[in-house]
Amino acid sequence: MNLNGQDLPEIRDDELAYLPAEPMDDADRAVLARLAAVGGRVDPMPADLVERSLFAATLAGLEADVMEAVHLTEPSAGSRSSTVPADGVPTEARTISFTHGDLMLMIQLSAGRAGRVRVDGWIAVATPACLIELHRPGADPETTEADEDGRFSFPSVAPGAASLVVRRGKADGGAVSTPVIEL
Amino acid sequence: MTIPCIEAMTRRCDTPSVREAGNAPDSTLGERAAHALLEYREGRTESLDAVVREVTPLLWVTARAQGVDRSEAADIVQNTWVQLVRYADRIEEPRAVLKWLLTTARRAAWDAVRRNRAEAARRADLPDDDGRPAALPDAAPQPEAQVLDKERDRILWTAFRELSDRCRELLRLVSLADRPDYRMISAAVGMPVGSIGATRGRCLAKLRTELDRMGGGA
Repeated sequence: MNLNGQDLPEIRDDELAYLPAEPMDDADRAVLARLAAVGGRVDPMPADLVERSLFAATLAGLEADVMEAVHLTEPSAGSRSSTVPADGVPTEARTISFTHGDLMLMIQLSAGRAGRVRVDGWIAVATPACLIELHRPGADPETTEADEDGRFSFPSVAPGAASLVVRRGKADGGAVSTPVIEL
Repeated sequence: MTIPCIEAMTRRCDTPSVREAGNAPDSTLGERAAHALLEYREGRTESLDAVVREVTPLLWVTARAQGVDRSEAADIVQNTWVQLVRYADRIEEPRAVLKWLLTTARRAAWDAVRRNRAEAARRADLPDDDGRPAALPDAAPQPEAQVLDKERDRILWTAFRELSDRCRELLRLVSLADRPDYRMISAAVGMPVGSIGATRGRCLAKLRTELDRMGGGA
């Protein structure tokens, strides 16, 4: 089957000008090298796919349960796993909530200085004073502590993909992470 | 370059040949991936980072070859790495982890294609459809004149598109990998090659015959 609708007669095995069982020669290798280059130009891999894959693998390695996003103030914004960046810079505040069991996390994203993003969060949990980590692709995580009311903030974060991880003691339910969000 | 396999004395080192081969400068991608998985199981992630960089282009080609769109292919690739980390301790044949990765991405892409087809069939019945026919899978997109500005490249791509879906997938993957990985890639694509060693294979023989016909041979 040809997906492009061109059903030209295929070359039959007895029409092959080269023997399949022969070892590859230099001309074979040259054709493959050209194919790699041409294929990469016709359908280039997204430039950030490796970084995003590393990020996804790192998050998976945290063995944290993933929270569920429950409410978005804008239908177009919020949790996303695609590699398409969010449209433009966030200019107005945007609120996203996540839940996992008895834990509720709400974050508000607003424009910071120089194109950066301010993250203000509030966590409702039975035992406050937990550690919050902000993970971004290719960067060491930033850590902050929620105050006794469960409030925390990351005042100046670079835009792009991110995930927040809430660290609790094993007895309190262990670590949980948000899905990847676009800051 | 060679890191001594100290763990061999005390801990799991069930495949020492993989461990050593993965460190050797002339190792294959399959060997490096196997080595990285064993390292990862023991808490060292650096090798896996390098393998993510190397194998992600192959996973991209694999997902795209099944006919999913770019955004979906990117999700599938990322999720394949998530699966690897999640199942790192349970993958039965670390030696064949490259094949495992390719197969995982391939199956996820099939599932996505099936879901999309079911969705398209459902939407076709709705009156408030946008009127456009459902997009055909673009496993091998048309070359854009501005992308392939050389006649020689256009001939190569045209000849390549004459091949079967499987041959296209196999050759794209082989073109991105080392030659000795041909066998593992062939097995993952469902076209096992019988002989050991890098023979030309039918797909490449076809491509070269096609190129000769079109006057664009190497």
